[in-house]
Amino acid sequence: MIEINLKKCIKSGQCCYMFPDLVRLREDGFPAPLPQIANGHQAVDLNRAEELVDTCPAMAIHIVESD
Amino acid sequence: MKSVHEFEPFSEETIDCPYEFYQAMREQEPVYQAAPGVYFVTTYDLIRKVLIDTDTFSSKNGAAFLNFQGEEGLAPPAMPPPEILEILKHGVEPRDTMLSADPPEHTRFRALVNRSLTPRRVARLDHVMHKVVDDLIDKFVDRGEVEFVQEFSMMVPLTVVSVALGVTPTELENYKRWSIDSVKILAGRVTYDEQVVAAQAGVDLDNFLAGQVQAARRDGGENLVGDLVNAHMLTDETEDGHEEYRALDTPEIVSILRQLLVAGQETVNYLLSSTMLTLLQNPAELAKVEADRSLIPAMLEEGLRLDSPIQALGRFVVKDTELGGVKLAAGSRIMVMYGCGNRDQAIFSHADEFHIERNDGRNHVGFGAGPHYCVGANLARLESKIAMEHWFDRIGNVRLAPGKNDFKHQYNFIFRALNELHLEFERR
Repeated sequence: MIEINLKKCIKSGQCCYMFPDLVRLREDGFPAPLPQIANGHQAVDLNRAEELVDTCPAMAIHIVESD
Repeated sequence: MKSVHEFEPFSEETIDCPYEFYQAMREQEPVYQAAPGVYFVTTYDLIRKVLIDTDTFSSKNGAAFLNFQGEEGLAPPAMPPPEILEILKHGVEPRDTMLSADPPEHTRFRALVNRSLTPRRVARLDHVMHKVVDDLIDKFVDRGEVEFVQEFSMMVPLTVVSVALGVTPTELENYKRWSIDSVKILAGRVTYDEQVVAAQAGVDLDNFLAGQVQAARRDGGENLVGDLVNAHMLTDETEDGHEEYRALDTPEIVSILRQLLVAGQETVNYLLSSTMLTLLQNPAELAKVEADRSLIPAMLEEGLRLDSPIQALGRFVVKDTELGGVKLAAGSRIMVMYGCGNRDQAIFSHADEFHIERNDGRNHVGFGAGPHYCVGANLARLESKIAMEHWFDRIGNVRLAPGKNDFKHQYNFIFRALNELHLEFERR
């Protein structure tokens, strides 16, 4: 699953613009992962997940192994 | 506090130190009318609102850049005189790729360029950056004095970008001249002669870059040009999920490279020089960094906030709207005042002060926000960090060279650029 560390987030908005199907922009400028990546059990294509990780200039997005 | 209307927004004094004017705008008229149909957006929240709403505030047709014309203010880019048009004909056909595009076109280009500038890809240049910085310091370290701008802060990004573009050592002198001359057009008051020089330099640079693209098409290449040549852009997506891709053509690649060159060289120069000056004016903060190098990234972010290299960029209002209680008619132009929003007291405590360890710093919009968030941020962060690490490793007891500094900035509405910074120091 994908985790966004809001403590590291700098509100660049890049994840929301480049991956609108995975992350939504909240009113306060922070990103909110959409259900398919937030709750781990539904897989996202690994290439796309890695691209999402790379798109963050604050390096606040991580892929975490889910059990 | 003076009334906002007592300031001359475009005078040399205001531009050299705009921060009192900025505060007056934020407090009195957050959306400030600077000229008929031209508004400054000055508070942090309104700036973010504009940057995110690309349906209302467009970047198309060169909206980002209003020409700065000195005391007369800002004007939409005018048709250049015929002699200059004649020169420009020999360049590469201009395209709207990133800075001057809106989603969804913007997003397609952006996705490609992002891939070449991710933290991981940028780290490929790590060893190059270390060498570039060390070589530059070698040239002046024994002298005990340096003009920081010409000899260091300008040269670090210029040399790093030249490597990323595959410029060979023999081509470096030409590349350097073209890139310095061609960006002069974005500076404040440019004379006719400077316009001619800039146009010719831009054409030479275009053709040189087109040559790099051709070479990369032929031979491949493990650099930024090679990445772009091999990239495929999404052009169409049907409802059943079928996607069509195409390669970028040469004018598109040249357009992208030109933007990276301007945005990637000038801004890092301004960031390094402003931050160095600010450190010398804040000895307690300088001492903290000298004692703990891990503070360098935070120091640079704080420099970026306090004296943002790009103070303002424009947008075009495409439909009637209201912003901060002010009605904006379709066709209006606005300037998004990043450098002003970064000193908004509603967001940043002691906003006019330089505090490396502030805990609200990550909110700054020095790199913008939203779709146009600086595509080169990872590169800028890494190269400026490496530059300052080597600087502090090799150079100590830095002080301003007495009698040599006037601390003047370029007379330019968009960039915050220190002209010169004469320093004395001891090598470590």
